[in-house]
Amino acid sequence: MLINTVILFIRDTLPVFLLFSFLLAQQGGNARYLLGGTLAGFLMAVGLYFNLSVVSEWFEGGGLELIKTLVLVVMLSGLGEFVRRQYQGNTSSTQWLSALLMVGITFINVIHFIIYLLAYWSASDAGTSLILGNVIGLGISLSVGVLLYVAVAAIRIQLIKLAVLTVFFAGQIAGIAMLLEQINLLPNQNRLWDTSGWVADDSEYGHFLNVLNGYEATPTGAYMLIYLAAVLFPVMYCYLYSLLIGKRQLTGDLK
Amino acid sequence: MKLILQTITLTLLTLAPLHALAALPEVVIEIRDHLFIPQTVRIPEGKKVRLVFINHDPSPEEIDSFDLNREKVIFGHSKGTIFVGPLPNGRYKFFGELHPNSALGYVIVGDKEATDAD
Repeated sequence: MLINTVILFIRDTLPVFLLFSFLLAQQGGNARYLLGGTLAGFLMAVGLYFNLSVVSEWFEGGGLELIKTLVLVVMLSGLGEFVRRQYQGNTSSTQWLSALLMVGITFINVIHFIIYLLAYWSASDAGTSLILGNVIGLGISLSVGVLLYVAVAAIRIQLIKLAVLTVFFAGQIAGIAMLLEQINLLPNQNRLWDTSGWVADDSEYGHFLNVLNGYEATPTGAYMLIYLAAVLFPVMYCYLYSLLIGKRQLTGDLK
Repeated sequence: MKLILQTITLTLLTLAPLHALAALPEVVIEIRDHLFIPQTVRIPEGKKVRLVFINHDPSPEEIDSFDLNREKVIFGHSKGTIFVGPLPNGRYKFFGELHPNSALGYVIVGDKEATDAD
């Protein structure tokens, strides 16, 4: 149980630690907002846990998958606005957006660990293993998060920092394909390639790369399509914003 | 107006597979004492199949499969469905993430004759 707790802790919480580091390393990154978002996401996940048996029965048993999809779509919109404001140097107004992104990522990932934790807390022999496993998992996740923060903070070019953040996000967003395929709202597709011989999904590197940039050894067409759309989304968002709203603002100013 | 019509069409196309649910082959896998019963199920090649997991244990189980790219929580004394396929011939492992040592199972994709799908 100890090893399983460590593995599940890292798997379910590493995306939270990584996004925290990515956002903190951006211009105007504020730990207080990020912690607030994480706490809000955690509380929302606890709230969902107590209603999960009902929620998961919605939409022919696909309730949780659809909720996670909805949260990811909202997060993608938030990322577009975050990148636009960061790119324009309007960093002070991105803090609430970074908090929103933390709420989303914590909510959709931590719910799985809460299920595990609460289900086994009552087991007679579980106490020590669970506590120790959580402490070890926390230590590993924190270490990875700190290393990532140092690496991203060292990048001098703002555009590259935002690109790295976008690629991380695209990996999370691409999960929508699997969620919708699982509940039959997307037709299953053939795997485009198989790189499990190099890095298997269930290996340590596979886990880490999956969280870091959405690596899949056997991605489907839908997965790659959503991944690429998510990578390009902030660019398209900034372009459309400048085209539609920027022009309107300029016209308004002239009037 | 055109935009509304396009949105409705897209929504209907997206939800269309729901109508086909009843026609899909189904395989039932029970979870008892953190074991999958049966441990191995055979499904036909190139067909979408509905895997129904019925959890008889009081504790939840999280079905996970790297081979099938699936992850689903099944609460205690409840059931859940995962759609898989169409898949090529092969052996696809799945496991219970909360009991990885005992809850292990395989989906064998083979010819249409040898199948557990109803």
